[in-house]
Amino acid sequence: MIFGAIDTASSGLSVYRTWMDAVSNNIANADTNHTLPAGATPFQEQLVEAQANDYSQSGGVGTGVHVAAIAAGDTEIDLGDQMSKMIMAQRGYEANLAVVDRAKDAYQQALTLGK
Amino acid sequence: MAIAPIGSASALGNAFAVAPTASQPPAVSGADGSGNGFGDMVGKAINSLQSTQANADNLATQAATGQLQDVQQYMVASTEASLSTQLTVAVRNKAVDAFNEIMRMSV
Repeated sequence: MIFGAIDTASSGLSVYRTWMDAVSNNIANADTNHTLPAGATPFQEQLVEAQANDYSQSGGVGTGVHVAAIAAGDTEIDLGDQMSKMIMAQRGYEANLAVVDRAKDAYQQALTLGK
Repeated sequence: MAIAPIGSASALGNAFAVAPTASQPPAVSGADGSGNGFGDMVGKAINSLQSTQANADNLATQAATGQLQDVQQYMVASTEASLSTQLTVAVRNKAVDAFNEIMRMSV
């Protein structure tokens, strides 16, 4: 695979974006349970479960990560907890973007080989 | 980093030892359009470039129509298309350079 690093980082971007979506949903529903109509099911915090892509068969380097499941968590949303998760998701997203950038630069450098 | 077992390494060595002693000289095909020569390789590379660019085009359409799931899908596809194009052009330029070099050869 020529673009292994880029594709791997892309899978990471996808997972971190899903995480940001989940955190965003949790923050949006932070007060939902306090204004719940009687008898309605309470909102549960959504947790993204990430899992590495299967690399046991490939014999080489793995191919990234994917979202295994969206699990249900606590009914009490802690905003501080969500904000720190948001920062982690954002930094992870940025780190994967940096990988894409560096890989692209490296490939372009390789193309100038012998010039 | 996996180290190839000795068995497979010697098999590789045999392959290299046998190939040149075959009845025909190493095929430099392409003139007759057959075999897996340079032309074939370039053809495959251009086909793969074509599909990469088609994928990027498809995602660009999705981005424009609001159907795109992930922003990075398009960005990654367009980056790959761009790199593939640069690679193909680099190979083409090298081939043309080699051709010109041969044409300049004084016999």
